[in-house]
Amino acid sequence: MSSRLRQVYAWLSDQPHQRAGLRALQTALGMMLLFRVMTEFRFAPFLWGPHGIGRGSSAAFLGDSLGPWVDRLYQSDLTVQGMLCLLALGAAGLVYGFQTRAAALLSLLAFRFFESRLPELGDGGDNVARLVLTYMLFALPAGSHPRRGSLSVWFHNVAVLAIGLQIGVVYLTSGVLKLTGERWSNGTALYTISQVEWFSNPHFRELFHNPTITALATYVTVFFQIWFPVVVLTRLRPLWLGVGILLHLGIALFMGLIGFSLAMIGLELFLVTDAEYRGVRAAYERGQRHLRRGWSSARLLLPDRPSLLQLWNPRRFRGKVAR
Amino acid sequence: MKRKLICLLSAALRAVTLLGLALHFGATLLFVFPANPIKLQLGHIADMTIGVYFPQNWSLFAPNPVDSTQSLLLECLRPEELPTSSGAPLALAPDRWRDVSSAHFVRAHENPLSAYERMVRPLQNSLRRYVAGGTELAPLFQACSKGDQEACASAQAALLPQREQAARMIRQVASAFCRESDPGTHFGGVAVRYRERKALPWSQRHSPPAAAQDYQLGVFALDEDVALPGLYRGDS
Repeated sequence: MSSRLRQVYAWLSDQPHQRAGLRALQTALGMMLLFRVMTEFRFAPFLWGPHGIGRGSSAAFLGDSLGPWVDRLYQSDLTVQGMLCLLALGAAGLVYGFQTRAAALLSLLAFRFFESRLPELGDGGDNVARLVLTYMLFALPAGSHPRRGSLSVWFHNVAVLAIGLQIGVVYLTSGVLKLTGERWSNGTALYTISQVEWFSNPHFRELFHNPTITALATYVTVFFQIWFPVVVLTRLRPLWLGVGILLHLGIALFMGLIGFSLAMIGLELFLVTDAEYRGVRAAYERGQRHLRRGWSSARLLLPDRPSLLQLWNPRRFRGKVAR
Repeated sequence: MKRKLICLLSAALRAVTLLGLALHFGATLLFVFPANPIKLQLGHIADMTIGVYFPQNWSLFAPNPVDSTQSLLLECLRPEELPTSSGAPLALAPDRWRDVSSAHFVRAHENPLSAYERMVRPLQNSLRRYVAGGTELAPLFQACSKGDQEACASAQAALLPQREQAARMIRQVASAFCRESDPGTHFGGVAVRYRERKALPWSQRHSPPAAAQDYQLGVFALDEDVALPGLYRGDS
């Protein structure tokens, strides 16, 4: 085996990767699903119930024998709402890191159930969430300590690779398709989107009348997407991930696509390595220590006066002030 | 011996997972990429696997973003206002039309942390499907616009079932609106219009908005069974 192949094999088999990134992704997807449940619960009978607008069947992915059987769940508003509760339960498990493999399975099943009933409701965020939840079934549960080199580590790392490849597919495909579009190549795509009521906040519409903002934002989007699969393998990764997070915050703000943005930001946070997360944590703790030290020195220079909090609730702090 | 067998099985499993991963993402790329020579040859394999179990679409405003605001306008009709079987044209006052889509857009912008934007998607996607067959038929219509007569015929044939499906959804949403916005009135049907307002070209960006164009979609019998969303109360 050549040394390169040996390195790849060791990466896959020795120890689990992207554990902090996976937790960030689980949290983001869990929040996205919880947001959906909280905002859509009261509309459940209208969307998916027996007299709702959704008439799709699970037979498309479960087959003609199992599909119609599962479709019976749509025959009552109560079971539909019950499924939403299960989705919320799965999502909460993902957010809190509790039984994450079971939580991913529960979320995936409930999610697929609703998607097959009313596919017109979904967007790219739902699409990627469904795929990533599937890959997550093979990842290690949060907080577990597997044996080095074990088969579960191998499956975890293959799942990590699958999620990474899926992100690459999303950006590469979207970028390549944009290259074939006239409005993306002439730099006016974001102006056009800003003129469509469905996808644009009227408060920001004027902003895209500015030629520099429109052209720059349009080209940065295409450039970012096309190069994403390559750049994340280089030292420029943190920069690219930062741009991606800003881009999706912008989409949430300008276009109101909250669920989509949450899912995509989660995917970008997934690509931050465990070592980088440890570095960020260490820097944060160093900063906190500096602040605390600075605060203690500053307090020595200040007269012994009660703080705003102590003035607001003097009874709670009476003893401390007296001391 | 047993230990050796376990090692062998484990190695085989590892190899199979890697092979599966490679095949899965090979098929995924084939499925999501635009038409190309490989896709013409092997695309059916991707359709049967990825298309069924891992469907995905990453066009995300590509190749060109939507360039018009499309909305559904409707007018709830009392039984005596329904068009007669003689086919007499429907005469409605222009101020009676209500724009359901725009009501959603305004509310979604006022309250982004709500379901208003998502709730309008079934309606908007159905409108697009009714008018032009949706994203599925876009390549056929594109080829048709370039003069491919075979594509034109296929697009027209495929449009009919798409329209039927979209009309069902439009009828249900329109019926829910009528029954909920004016619960005291008994309606027998709903007249539906499609309105399109094109985005101005970049060179005319400072001009007043383009005029909207309306298209009659017809009159649908009111759906008395559809569940009410609780969104349209007081919208009359």
